[in-house]
Amino acid sequence: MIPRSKMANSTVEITFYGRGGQGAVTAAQIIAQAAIKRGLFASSFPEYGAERRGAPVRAYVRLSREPIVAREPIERPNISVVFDVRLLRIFNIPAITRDTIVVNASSKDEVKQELSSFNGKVIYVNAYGIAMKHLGRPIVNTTMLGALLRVLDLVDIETVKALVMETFGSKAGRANAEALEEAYKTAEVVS
Amino acid sequence: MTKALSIREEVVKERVGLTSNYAAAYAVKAVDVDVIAAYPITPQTTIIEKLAEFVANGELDAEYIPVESEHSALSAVVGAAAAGARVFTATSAQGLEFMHEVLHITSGLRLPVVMAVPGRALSAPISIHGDYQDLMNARDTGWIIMIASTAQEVYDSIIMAYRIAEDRRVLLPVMVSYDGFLMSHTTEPVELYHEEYVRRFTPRNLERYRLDPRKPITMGVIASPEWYYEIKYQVIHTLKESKAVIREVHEEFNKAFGTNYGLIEKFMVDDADYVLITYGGASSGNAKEAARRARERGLRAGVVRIRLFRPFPTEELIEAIKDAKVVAVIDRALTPGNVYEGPVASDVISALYSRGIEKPVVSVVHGISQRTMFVEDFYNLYKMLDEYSKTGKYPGSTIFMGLRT
Amino acid sequence: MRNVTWRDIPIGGVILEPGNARNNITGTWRTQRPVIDQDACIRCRICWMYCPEPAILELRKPYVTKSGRKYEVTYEIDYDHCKGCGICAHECPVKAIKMVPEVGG
Ligand code: SF4
Ligand code: SF4
Repeated sequence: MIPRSKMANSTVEITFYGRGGQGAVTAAQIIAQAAIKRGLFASSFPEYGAERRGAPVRAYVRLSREPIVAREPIERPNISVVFDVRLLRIFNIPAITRDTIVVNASSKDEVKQELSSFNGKVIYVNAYGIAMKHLGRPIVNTTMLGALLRVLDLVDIETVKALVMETFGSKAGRANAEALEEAYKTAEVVS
Repeated sequence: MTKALSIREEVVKERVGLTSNYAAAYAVKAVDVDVIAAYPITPQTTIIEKLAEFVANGELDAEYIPVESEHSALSAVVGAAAAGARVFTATSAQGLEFMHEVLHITSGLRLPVVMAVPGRALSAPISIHGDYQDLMNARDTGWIIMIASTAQEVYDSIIMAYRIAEDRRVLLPVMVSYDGFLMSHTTEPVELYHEEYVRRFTPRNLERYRLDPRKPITMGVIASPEWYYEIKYQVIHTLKESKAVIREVHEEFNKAFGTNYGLIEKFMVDDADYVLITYGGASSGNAKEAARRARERGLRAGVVRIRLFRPFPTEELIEAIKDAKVVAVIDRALTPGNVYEGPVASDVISALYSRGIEKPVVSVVHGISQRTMFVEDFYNLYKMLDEYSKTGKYPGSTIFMGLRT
Repeated sequence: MRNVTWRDIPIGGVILEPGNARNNITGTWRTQRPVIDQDACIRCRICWMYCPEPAILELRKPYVTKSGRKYEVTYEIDYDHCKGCGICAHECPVKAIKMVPEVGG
């Protein structure tokens, strides 16, 4: 693989890994919208195909202070946001992620075990528990956004929360924003 | 530059994240169309969904006709345009194929219809994914065709399209095409204008032939062989001459909105030895990124993006590539059985030949049914051009990049 | 006619003069002509409705038949535009229209 150009190096690439119906595409959209709101450049795109509930899906975001020209899939993301610990193997995430993995798991031990080979930073969050508590449903996308914000300084939590409110409407929006907030506070840096 | 910046400050209402499909819908709303007729097809559907929303919530005062097919969609807007309405439709792939006979009718009747076409592969085998096979099959129908490369450009081009289509010197339909999925479903920043600026830029031209019971005329007549040729030639002539109007509209748009559009876009071409000629978002964006990388490694690489496809921007293109050693044309479409299977490669070759210029042209097909085009593929292509140029040995037939071989 | 070029025609083949099909004298196409027997005709108007040209004229012209019936209207043929298709003769319920050969043009 040839090195990226200087321009491309100023770009942060994020891949969201989820299952159909978990809202990975919406999460990617919200991050892009938040960056655009702050005057940055962003592009977000789903993995295109026939969408099926439960099937593994990816959604991509590029963020930059410069206009973004490349339109290729993200092969080696700076940050991987993993909605379900079992997706780590399906997408070979520890091997392709450059810097940080944000992962939803039931315990820190599970994360350590699954990511023993990964040298980068790992953020663990029990998104399932938080989503069930606030939303009563295992839809973890907004919770995962909260955990992601711990390591992403290009966007700020207030803008993201406002977009969550806008996307989900006032009632569901508030519950989602609370889930996001709790995940932001409780996400732990494992390594 | 500062002048352009201050114009932007004045005309831009808000900067938002939109897909190219939504950008198209916002442009259609801004120009205040009267009639929309469309039939859903991937990847176009979200354009007309958004427009249906605008009409339903009262943001756009237009007649929205949910028809039973694409053939009817275009037929309905043809009828409305004949009656003097400002119209819009959109389609992709099989939908554009199904419209095909009405495409010719629209240009033959000289109706200023505007249509968005996020490009998609054609069946069989069935594919919902993007390329430009559908658009290339529609290229000989007498429409003006623009191909955009960003969501902002989709928005801007649709605004320009109404001005061009309705110009009394043109009166031809316009397609605005862009990458299916890779643009139609990608969210990116778009600066939306205050609608009064858009409306000032696109005044309605009602001084054209239209069906009006108070002043009856006949449209859509049979032409005997004594007259058919002349009426068809008017379309051919006007399409060619429309280039001057399109240039003028671009200049005026740039002045009014602080942009910098031309019929082609040049990227690092001034001193380039190796130039990739592209169209659409993914080919062009990835080629530009590859050119940067190639430049960092000492290759004089550049990109020319074709923005206006019909009428073909012969003079602009030749001016841009005249000093290049080799050019390669990246086609995301096919013309099976032709000398080269890349359709635009043939256009570039005839453009050069028509001006007596001899220059090696390499035909490359890539991105068919959204076969992933990596920046690295284009970087490698620059290295191949360097190799061809040094050895003097050229492939002589189309290169099918990304194909499993 | 010879000097009319492609530049001189309205674009899109639009026809600007309403009703100018009248100038097309389709009467020259005929090989047979319909002839109405005014005494047999019952003024039912069917030929008038069926004629594709339309070349059946409905005229306010009183007529008294040989048997003494009085009519306020008369149906006649516009031979400039009747193309001799024979539909009127075929449709007439009382066979009051006969198709006769054109002789000598
Ligand atoms: S022959 Fe045909 S055209 Fe002539 S009057 Fe009868 S129906 Fe009309
Ligand atoms: S159809 Fe026969 S009967 Fe009826 S009006 Fe005509 S000619 Fe007379």
